[in-house]
Amino acid sequence: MSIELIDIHKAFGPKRILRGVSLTVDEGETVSLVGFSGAGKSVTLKHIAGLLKPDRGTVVVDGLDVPTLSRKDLYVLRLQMGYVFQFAALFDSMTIAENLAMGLRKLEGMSEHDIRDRIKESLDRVELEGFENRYPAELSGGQRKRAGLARAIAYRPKYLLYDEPTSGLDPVTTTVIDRLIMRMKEDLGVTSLVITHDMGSAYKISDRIAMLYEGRVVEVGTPADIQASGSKVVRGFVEGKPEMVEEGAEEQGLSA
Amino acid sequence: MKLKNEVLVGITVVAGLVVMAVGGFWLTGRPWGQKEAQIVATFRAVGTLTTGNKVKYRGVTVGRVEQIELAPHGDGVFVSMSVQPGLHFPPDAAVLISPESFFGDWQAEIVSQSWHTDMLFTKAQRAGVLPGATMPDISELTAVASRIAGDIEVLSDRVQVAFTEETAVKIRRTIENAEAISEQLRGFMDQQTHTYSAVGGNVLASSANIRQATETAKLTAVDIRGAINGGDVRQILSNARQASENLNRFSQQLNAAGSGIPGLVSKADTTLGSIGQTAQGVNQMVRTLGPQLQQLGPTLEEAQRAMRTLDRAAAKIQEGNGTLGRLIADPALYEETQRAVVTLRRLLADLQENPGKYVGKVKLF
Amino acid sequence: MHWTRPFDSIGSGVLSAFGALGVFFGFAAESVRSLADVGTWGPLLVLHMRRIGVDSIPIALFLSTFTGIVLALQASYTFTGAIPLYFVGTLVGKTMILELGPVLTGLALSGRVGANIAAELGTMRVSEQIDALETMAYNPVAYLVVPRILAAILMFPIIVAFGNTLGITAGWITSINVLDMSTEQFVHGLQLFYKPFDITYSMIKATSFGFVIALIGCFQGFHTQGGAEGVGVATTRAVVISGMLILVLDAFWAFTLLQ
Ligand SMILES: Nc1ncnc2c1ncn2[C@@H]1O[C@H](COP(=O)(O)OP(=O)(O)OP(=O)(O)O)[C@@H](O)[C@H]1O
Ligand SMILES: [Mg+2]
Repeated sequence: MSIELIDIHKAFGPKRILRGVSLTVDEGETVSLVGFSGAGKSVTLKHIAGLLKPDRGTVVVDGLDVPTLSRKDLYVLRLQMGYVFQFAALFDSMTIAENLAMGLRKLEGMSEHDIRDRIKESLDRVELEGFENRYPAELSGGQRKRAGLARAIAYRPKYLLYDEPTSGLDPVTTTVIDRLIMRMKEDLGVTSLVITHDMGSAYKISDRIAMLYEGRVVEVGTPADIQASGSKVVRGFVEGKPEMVEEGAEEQGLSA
Repeated sequence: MKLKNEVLVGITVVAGLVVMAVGGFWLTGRPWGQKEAQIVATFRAVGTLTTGNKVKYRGVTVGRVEQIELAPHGDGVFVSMSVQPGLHFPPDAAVLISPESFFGDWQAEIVSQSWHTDMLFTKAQRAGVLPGATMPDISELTAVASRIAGDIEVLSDRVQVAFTEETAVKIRRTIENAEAISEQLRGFMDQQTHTYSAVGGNVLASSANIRQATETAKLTAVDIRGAINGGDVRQILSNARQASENLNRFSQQLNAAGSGIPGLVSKADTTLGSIGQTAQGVNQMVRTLGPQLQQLGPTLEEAQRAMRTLDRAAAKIQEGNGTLGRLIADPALYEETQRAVVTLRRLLADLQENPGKYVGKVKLF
Repeated sequence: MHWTRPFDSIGSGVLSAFGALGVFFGFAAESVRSLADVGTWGPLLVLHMRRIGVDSIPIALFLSTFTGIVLALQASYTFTGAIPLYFVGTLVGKTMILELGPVLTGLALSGRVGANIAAELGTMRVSEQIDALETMAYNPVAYLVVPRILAAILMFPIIVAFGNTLGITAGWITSINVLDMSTEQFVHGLQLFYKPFDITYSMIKATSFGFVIALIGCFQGFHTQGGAEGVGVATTRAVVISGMLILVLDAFWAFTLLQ
């Protein structure tokens, strides 16, 4: 039960964002996807959930070809998938509890009581105890982000797609969220793809790290592999050295 | 207290539906909860009457027009009305359709036929169906005018204006022609009586009848002439009515003459056929002129009826068996009559081509 | 400049126009298909009937009250002397029921309801809430669009019925207080040319206006692009387009139903 991205191409009008992304996330594995802002990480993630359709290539999740799934099958698959949006995307007309209940209501055999318990449990996990009856507008950015995370994990999906779950959080909360991601994997055997800009987190939580650059995955490997990468682009990115990236880009440009 | 959405929406929807239903019903102006009686009347035409128009009796609104439908073969219109229950109508009750006001709203009025002797009511075709009549345009305008302004003076002035010099001349010429015809007819009859006086009492009696009829026709012509010269519209109308009555009598007399003859007349002759055709032509012409003639009101409708009777009379004579036909085979008589017919024809053709010459458009407003 | 340039731009203009129409009809078709998903929109219907319907009644009543007053005064002004005053009742009733009730309410509510829907769905679109619905296996059309359109279709006739009633009442009160008329005269005029079809016609109009306003609002909201500015554009478009469509539909109904 894995996530496979096979040669995804995607353009918005003349802007070619993805130009052949291929990546596999094996069952029970946590893979981090890193890359420059605007590289197309969020776009990649949306392809996995079927929110965007690739121009070319395909996505296979759970053995199912996502772009060609019927709506019904897609919805069945989506209930196996938790999606943490980069900007939380909480329903702002609902309280936090109602936000979390939305996914739970779609599950069969959950009583109102079960739902309430599950909401409480999920909020506890992201350290938002007692926020049930608040509206998203009454939360800080970081709290909203965690509420969004709670909403994604509430219905215990097999796959979790995190779009920058820790950006904008203080170091302590970041650690809490990192631990949560790891626990989801250990306790529930979740298969996760995490988009992050925080290399520290990436090293900690990931089995493997993939780097998206110029519309392709340019390198995949364990945290150790990435740290020891021979590619100037990857090294420059992880070490935060723009000059090195530029150099690497020029070399690639010459070799290409 | 804060109402739940369900309650609020429920109240609103129910209230809205009630408002729609109650308001819609109230606007029709029907009385609440009362069981109503149905009456049906038959008409030749209903003007601009529509469903929902008022039904009045002695000036009081008693109901509404419910349904208007064409009779099965299109030879009439049935109008169903619902009225207050328990009303007693006169035995010769009929329904008169007329404009309620100047502005196009019509009404159906339950009347006694004796109140409106000048109106032509339909015959009720079956029990429970009242006879009906529709006010023609001029009387409609008159009625409205008298109702609204209460002064027909203005109106008749305007009518007078409509009779131009030319119109008067045309009508006079027409009448002169008619006079000539009747003169010729008279001459012809005189000659006939003279020549064939020996044939028998029956024939003589019939010829006397015809003679009398032509006399009447002549009288009519004089009446009409007088009318035109008179100039005053009211007088014109009353003279015209007198004239048409005479004409009517004339045709009845002709009719009587015809019915007196049957035993004698064996076969239709071409000459008489021509008379018949002429009469038919006149009839048709009158119909063609219908719209204009109607402006002169029921008077002319009566004239039209007279023409139809004349037509029938001619047809009867024509059907008659043999003897008169043979009598008429006389060449002198033939020539005379033929000349009369030709004159009539010419006049007819002219009338048909330029009806406007004879009956100017009566513009009231 | 190459000679094909003008043709190119004409061609692409036509194509994009058809493309936009195609997207719109696709959206409308999707809305119809999503009707089947009763489980998703059913529980939300009452909420939207409240928000679109019940909450719109005050503005509709306000509007029609003043319309009724003005109609009565203008009618009497127009009819001076020549025409019996009871025609004020006819004019107020007919105009209110046939035209101003549905159309003015429609135009006002294209602002209130259409703009509201477009802004709300537009915000949901740009803040990815619609995507979030998708990821939680909700059909967003069934969840967001269908209950709004249905609520508008169901509630607009009710709103207009109230509006018509109040407008006529206002006209009546004006007539007996300001004009030299009696209640009997007003009612006589009101009932004079009334046909039961008048109300049907009014309701047909109201229903179609409700449908158009909600559909356009949802469509614009759903296809919002960009951020706050995009929401603004979508809202403006929703109001302008549904306002225009109301007038076009108004003429359409007059041509098809009144002839
Ligand atoms: N719906 C869209 N329409 C047009 N362009 C889009 C759309 N979504 C994304 N893009 C463009 O695609 C590119 C990649 O966007 P994406 O959100 O995937 O970036 P990202 O890698 O997630 O960046 P960040 O780290 O800042 O979130 C951007 O240039 C963006 O403008
Ligand atoms: Mg992103």
